[in-house]
Amino acid sequence: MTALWITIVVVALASAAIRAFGPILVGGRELPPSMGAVIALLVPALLTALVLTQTFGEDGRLVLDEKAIGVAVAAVALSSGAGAGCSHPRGGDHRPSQSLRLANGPEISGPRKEDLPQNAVVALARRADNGVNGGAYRTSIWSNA
Amino acid sequence: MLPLAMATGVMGISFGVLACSLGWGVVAPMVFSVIAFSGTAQFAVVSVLGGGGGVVPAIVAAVLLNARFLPMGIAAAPFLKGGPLRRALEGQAVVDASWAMASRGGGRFDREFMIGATIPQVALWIVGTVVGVLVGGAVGNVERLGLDVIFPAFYLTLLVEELRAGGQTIAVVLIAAALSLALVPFTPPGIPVIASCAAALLGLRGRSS
Repeated sequence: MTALWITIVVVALASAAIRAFGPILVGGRELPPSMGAVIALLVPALLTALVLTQTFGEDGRLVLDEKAIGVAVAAVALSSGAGAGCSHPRGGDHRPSQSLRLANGPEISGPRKEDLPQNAVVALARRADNGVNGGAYRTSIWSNA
Repeated sequence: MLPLAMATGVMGISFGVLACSLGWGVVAPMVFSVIAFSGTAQFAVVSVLGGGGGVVPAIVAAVLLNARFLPMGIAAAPFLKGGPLRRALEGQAVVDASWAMASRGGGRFDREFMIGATIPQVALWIVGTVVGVLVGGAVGNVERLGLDVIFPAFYLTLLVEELRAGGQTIAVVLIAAALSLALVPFTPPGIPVIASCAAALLGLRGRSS
């Protein structure tokens, strides 16, 4: 086996083992209530780390570039139409938007009035989007039709 | 769900093109995507091996990045079904987006939703890889499309939903943010994400919100 194949097989086995570990260890048992609270908070903790490392982390450095703007604009586009998926149970009755243009002036429908955090993101994204390259970030167009 | 699956497909193309450009041939990238289906780990292997690194650093990087599936798997475990073997198999459905979307608050997870969300993502990841290795250089640099912002953007929308819980959740998010950002310059990729889990230990102090 070549080095490449060894790497592929070991990484695949390790990934499978990591994913299997919890389910085998915990089985069908309810976790103790104190653990339940910790696990509930794992979701925001991990999401925060994923957002920040994927937005600002690059090759072991913290960078602030156009990617941050792209993430903000895409987040607004996602939450205002396609949302966290039309089947997202916490996202309400979201219908997929017809089209999301992230370049050349994003077509972003307004967020629901009660979504104050999203309004803040809209404001941030609009301000940021106007400031860079006249709003032309990266070409990224798709349709949900 | 559809934008996410499509973005996963495009990232798969990107992976296929990259792997192909490193001389991996046609079969190895496809097999990798089928048996590992982990974008972060696979891109890490590409960048380590492509940068002239050895087998061990490549494996270590991939394992560190995927170590986050350990706490995720423990969290989802009580809601999976069957004996140990079946549970281990169902646990393979733990991927970032599906896991986060399957969270129902209070530490509960929707097993059917998680598995149902993972299947199209894995399918498009594999299809994307196949397309990537077959068309190779014809696509050019897929990163130019900017679709890599979709994943953090998507997690951000889920995070905004989480923040509505207020109180303790906000404290956890602030601690996790500080931990992960502080560690990025000093630790290998993957460690900041794992370390941020420590913020959730705030839950041991009981609900104060």
